[in-house]
Amino acid sequence: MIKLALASLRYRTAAAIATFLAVMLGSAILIACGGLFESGLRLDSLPQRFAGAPVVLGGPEPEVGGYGERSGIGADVVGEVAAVDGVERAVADVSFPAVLVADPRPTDGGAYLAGHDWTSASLTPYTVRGDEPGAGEVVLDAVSAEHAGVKPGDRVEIVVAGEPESFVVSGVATARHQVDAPALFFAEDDVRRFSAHPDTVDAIGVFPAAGTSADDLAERLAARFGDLTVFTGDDRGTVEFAGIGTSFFPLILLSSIFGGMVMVVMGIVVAATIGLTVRQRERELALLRASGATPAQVRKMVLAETMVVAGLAVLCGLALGRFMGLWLFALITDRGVVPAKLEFQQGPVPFAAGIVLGLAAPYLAARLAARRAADTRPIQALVEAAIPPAEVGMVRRYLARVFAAATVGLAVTTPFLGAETAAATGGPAVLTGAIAVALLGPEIIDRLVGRAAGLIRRVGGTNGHLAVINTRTRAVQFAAVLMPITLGTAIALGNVYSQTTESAAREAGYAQQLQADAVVTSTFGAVTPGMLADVLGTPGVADASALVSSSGAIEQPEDTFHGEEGWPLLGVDAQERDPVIAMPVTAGSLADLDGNTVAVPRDAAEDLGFGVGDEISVRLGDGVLVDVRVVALLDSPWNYPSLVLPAGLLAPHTTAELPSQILVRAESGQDPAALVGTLRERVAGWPGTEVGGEDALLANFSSGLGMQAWINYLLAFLAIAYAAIATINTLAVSVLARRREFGVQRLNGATRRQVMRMLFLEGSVIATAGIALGAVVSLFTVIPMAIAVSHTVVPSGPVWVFLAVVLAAYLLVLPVTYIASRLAMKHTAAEAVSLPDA
Amino acid sequence: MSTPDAPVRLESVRKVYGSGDSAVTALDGVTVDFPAGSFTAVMGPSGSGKSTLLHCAAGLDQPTSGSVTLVGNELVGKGETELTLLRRKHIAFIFQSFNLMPALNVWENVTLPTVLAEQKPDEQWVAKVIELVGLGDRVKHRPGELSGGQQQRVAIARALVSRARVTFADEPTGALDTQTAADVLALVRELAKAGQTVVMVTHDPVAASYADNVLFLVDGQIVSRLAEPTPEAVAAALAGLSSRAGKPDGLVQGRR
Repeated sequence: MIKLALASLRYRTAAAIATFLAVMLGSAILIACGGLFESGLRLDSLPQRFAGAPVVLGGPEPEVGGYGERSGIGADVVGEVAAVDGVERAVADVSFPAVLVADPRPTDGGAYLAGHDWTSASLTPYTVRGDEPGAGEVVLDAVSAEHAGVKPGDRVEIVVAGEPESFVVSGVATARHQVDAPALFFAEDDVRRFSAHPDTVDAIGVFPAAGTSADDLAERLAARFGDLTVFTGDDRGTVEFAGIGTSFFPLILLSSIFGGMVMVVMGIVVAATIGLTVRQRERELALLRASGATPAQVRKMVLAETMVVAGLAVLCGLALGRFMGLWLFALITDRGVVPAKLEFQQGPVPFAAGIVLGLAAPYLAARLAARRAADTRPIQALVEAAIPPAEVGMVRRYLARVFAAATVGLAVTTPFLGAETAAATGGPAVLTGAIAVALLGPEIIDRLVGRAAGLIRRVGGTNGHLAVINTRTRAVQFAAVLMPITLGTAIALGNVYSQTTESAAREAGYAQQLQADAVVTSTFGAVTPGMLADVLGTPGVADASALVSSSGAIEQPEDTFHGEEGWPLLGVDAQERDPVIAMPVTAGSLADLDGNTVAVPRDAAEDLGFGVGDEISVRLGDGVLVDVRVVALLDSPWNYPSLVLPAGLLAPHTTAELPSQILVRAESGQDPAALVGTLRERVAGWPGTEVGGEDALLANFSSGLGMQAWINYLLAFLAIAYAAIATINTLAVSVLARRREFGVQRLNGATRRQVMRMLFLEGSVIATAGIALGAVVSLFTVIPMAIAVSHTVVPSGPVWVFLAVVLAAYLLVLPVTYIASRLAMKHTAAEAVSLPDA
Repeated sequence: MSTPDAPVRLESVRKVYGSGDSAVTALDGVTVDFPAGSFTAVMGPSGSGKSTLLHCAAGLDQPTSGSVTLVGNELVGKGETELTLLRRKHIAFIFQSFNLMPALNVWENVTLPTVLAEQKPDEQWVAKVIELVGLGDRVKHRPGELSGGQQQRVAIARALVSRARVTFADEPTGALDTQTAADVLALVRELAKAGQTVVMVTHDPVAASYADNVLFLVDGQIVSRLAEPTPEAVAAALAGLSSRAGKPDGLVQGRR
């Protein structure tokens, strides 16, 4: 049987290539996703600056996955660690924002934490040329020194903790390992002056005594200091680089959503391709049956054929999967979705999973197709190839109903889930909807074309007439082409428009909560009280406030409404005359927003049962729990509301330790544009400062959103590309298989051109049907999404995306039809009629 | 004329397609034996049921009622796999066209039934048979590279190689020119001489004249027989059938 299967495969290369491509790409993408998943699970990141310390201790890990900010360790712990048995030396590391003005290289994670205390240089270690820093002095790393063109004894300007200051370069340090980030080392006294919380350190590097292994010591330390995180080996980078710990969620989420999507697409595509190739060989299979092949033998042959192709495809997919994984990872690190310092890990597990899934999908599809093939009756060898009826079987119809019901169910649930979680159910609706359409494909084509028959005939004349007959009678074959078009369109429109709708709603929600006539932004990531005073003193400025963004959660009372997601946190200064908080205050006053206080959306306060004057506990971004008094209730927008805290309370609990923006309100009668100009002159003395109008507020917020949107677009793009390849496959196979029919048509007087025109018409009919069905399916995602995030049924987003999808579908179908029909008609008509099935 | 040891026996076989008003009776109580070594041609106007007779006799189609015996095995009521195994063991087919697997070459096509039965083909015998049908120099060719007559010879070689007890031929020369048809028919007669039972459906009096016996079918019933046929006698008998049926050829109600 294997021999027969191989002979048959060699003969039928076109169909084999179609299956091969579908399986290879599918398994490659799955393997790539597996790599992202594994990287997210392991979160390995090779240490650089901490490379010299075998064990590194980090701050406590927040319970709820972390809200992305660095957490600290009490300074007194350093001594306790040093006292532990087997510890030779414990070195504290303190990092704070510092930017060499002559060399403003950004570091990973967007935080400019290049400033360190001199003692921590031994963690790398560095060799220094010159002297260690005294007060007012700095040691630069060799790369920074070279970029800035300075040598020991020179003076440099450094913006440290937001304030520009002049230092003397006492020495230049060369790292004994590769360290990509700039490092500026200061004397201990200076460090105490710069640090936002001098009583804590950021990490402790531990050197074990001779004869003590790092792993043993790590275990002992972990047992002794239960609340701290202890790292050894490749995990140490987690403490060194911001954002490694929080990469877990995006990577896992991204790879599972995308992997799931690709699995569904692969299943549908492979099933369509294999089903198509089996159907086209009906006569041959019948002949095989007449020659004495049992149904079981035919089943085995179809399975063997498919699995040989799938096996080869998966093998090639392994290599491609590695490249694709590296490529995807490079893309998302370049974009800053996860830190570049995170190691891409693609161990045996992703490959094994890719192999299993890459073989399982074609196996299941082939099992289904083989069952149909085995049912072939030998008598069919004696008659012209039977045209399968458009009606689908009972099982398919039942399954289609189940998937359609699931689609409706998901669509109906989404609006009730709240803006933040809507995407979780909104997305899968596209897939279930597309599966339902795929299952009912032949019937849908029959009915749709039946309805549009009059129109198609009017447009196409004789060709239109033939196209109507062909598409309806060959509905099963055309359904195989329809499926990927529907799927691609549904994913493209569903993903993109849900994203644009959500982004628009988020921006609107954010913009509704804040107001500013001018925005001062520090590209060095830090604004200081001095800068704020300068801004406040500018003529025409009515009021100004620092702005800090972070996220956190209400822990007391227990927040059952926002639990998992957490809250966006906004940090502003106490609001008096002209508040930058745009939301009306319904109770209390924002003037009291100082110290340990909070302003809460009224709805949340009602839900959780507290009011002005009550104390609640809020977990901040670095995992620290603070008790805050509710000073005001706000009439917040219902979608994406924030908790508002004093900037002074919130900022030290963020990685950057300082606010990065100042929002400015103009005095009444003051022209905002003129104010922007005035402010620009006023803050010119602060390096790395930009001043913008009201839009700058949104621009900064959108660039953060852009990341998530970008991932969504990338995934949509890959899924669409896959669906596109599947469309090319099925279309080419279905056209090539009809070469005998075209021969007959030409013998009866049709010119090549006429046949081609008929095929174009058929292709357009199928493309149009696919786009229409895909668009309808995408509505089951997009409309519930719009309801969930903005309480309207109208999604927002640019029209060009829809037009591009339509254009892409036609640009795919028509040229492929052209090429395939050229190939199908390369023989003379007389030769063509005697050709065997392709 | 009952021959209990005949490899193929049909008894009171009825075959009705469809139901109710649209029901068509393709075979209406056919009882016939095809003895070993006999070469029988089945003739009749279009729709007379000759193809249905062949399908039922070969176990390709199940009769509505009656009994079909193949080498002592009752075919009626058997499952598809059982039928296949019986067919594989005892039956060879030669169709009008599309006899061969396009992906396989001559040798592979000829040995296909043997391979499907998971047996090793007797290579010398295969080579001899291929030589016998005149395709010794085309062993490695695919069907696409052969003429129509050559394709039919491959099918005959296949029937010989599988050592089938019965060969069913459905218009085996329908698509061939006169000379090629004569060569092919001579080979088919060789099959019968070698001891096989050959049943051939045809509408060509010349083709039928190669058989030992001709059965004439009208409206699903055997209406006459002709032994030692000549083309003229067959043509005359056919002409008689048409007038007897009272309907011009081609307008007889029927299916395939």
